[in-house]
Amino acid sequence: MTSPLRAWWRLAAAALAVLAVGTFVACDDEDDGDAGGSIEISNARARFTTTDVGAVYFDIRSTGPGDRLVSASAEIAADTQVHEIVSEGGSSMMRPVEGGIPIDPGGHVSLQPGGYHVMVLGVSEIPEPGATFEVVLEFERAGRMTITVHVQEFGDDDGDMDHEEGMDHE
Amino acid sequence: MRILTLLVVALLAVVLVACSGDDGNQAPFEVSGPPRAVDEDGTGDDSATAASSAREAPTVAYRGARATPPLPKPDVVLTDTNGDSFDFLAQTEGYLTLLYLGYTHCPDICPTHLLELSKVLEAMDPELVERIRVVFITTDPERDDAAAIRRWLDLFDSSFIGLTIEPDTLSSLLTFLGMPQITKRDIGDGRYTVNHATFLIAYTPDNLGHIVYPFLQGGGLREIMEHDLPLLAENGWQEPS
Repeated sequence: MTSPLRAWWRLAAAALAVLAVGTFVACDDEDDGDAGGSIEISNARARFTTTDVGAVYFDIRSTGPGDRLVSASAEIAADTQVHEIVSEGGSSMMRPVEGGIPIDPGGHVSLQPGGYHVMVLGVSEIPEPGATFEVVLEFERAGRMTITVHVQEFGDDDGDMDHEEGMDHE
Repeated sequence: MRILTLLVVALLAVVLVACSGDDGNQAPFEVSGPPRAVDEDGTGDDSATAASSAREAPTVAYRGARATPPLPKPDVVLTDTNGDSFDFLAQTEGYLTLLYLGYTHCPDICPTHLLELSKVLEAMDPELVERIRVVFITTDPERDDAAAIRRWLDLFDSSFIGLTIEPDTLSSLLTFLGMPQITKRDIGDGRYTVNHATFLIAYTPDNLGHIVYPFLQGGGLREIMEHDLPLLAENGWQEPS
């Protein structure tokens, strides 16, 4: 067995390696969102199951000052809400984000399964995988942006759970 | 040494926030078993250490959250999606029974949780999967009829058992399971979301739920279940040593 000190150094090295990969991934985003000043949106996708309720996910990157995603709307849905997940004990609960989703200056936030998401509800028809629809995002600073969301085959978001970047507070 | 330790811990914390789900090496909630095992996982090269410790002494450590005291299996008869009665105790006897309560209009948490479970089962040895029964009970009796539940579960796995339930029975079942009562949040136009407990209970063939799998923000749930479910399916419950 390695000595405890050696083990800690290996742990530190592993942590640094992962950190480096994380940084690289974060810098490797391909921006396909439209220009909204200093906010870039990428990887916009939607997941529907068998009901008229779905979830929209995307990555937000600030290339300038901090901002907040305060609301979203979509023509295909009767209502749209920006949600967060709150966990307590063994239970998690989604609820509207009070004051919007904060994006730090130069920061990066991912909306992804099990975290921040835009809930779309009351769609008149469940969109087919491969279809697209528009969602209008309202940022406190950057203002209004329209993004095109791709409807995923159910289960395809699989990979995103595995290499998600989460919230970058730095 | 202490400073180094703190540095590494702080660094890891940053990494986990920034890249959670990357390596399945989180221990995001209290886990059973010796803390040492968790540290080893954190190094990212647990295969060698796990193998060597397995040779030294047969140790069991689960990554799910330990329920103490263990949860007794409910003795309840409900209705499955074929309309047949389902005697929960009798019809899950001898299986590793994974119970989840949720609702089909759930946009994010429930589909994510069950999708992770279905991916784990898909990748598992089919002989072990045969020893597992996944049971879903709706927390939204008003909207979730048998057909709605069946259609929804088929997205994940057509072998998942779906059960409808009367509101009164649901209420007593939740109490029995130690879960909070459901609450609805009105979101206008007669629509609502349902707040419910979000953990999967794993009942081993001793008819007790020793381990639960709470929903995890930011991933990692799949790796935890990937580790535990084959162990529980193969050996049943073994007290962590």
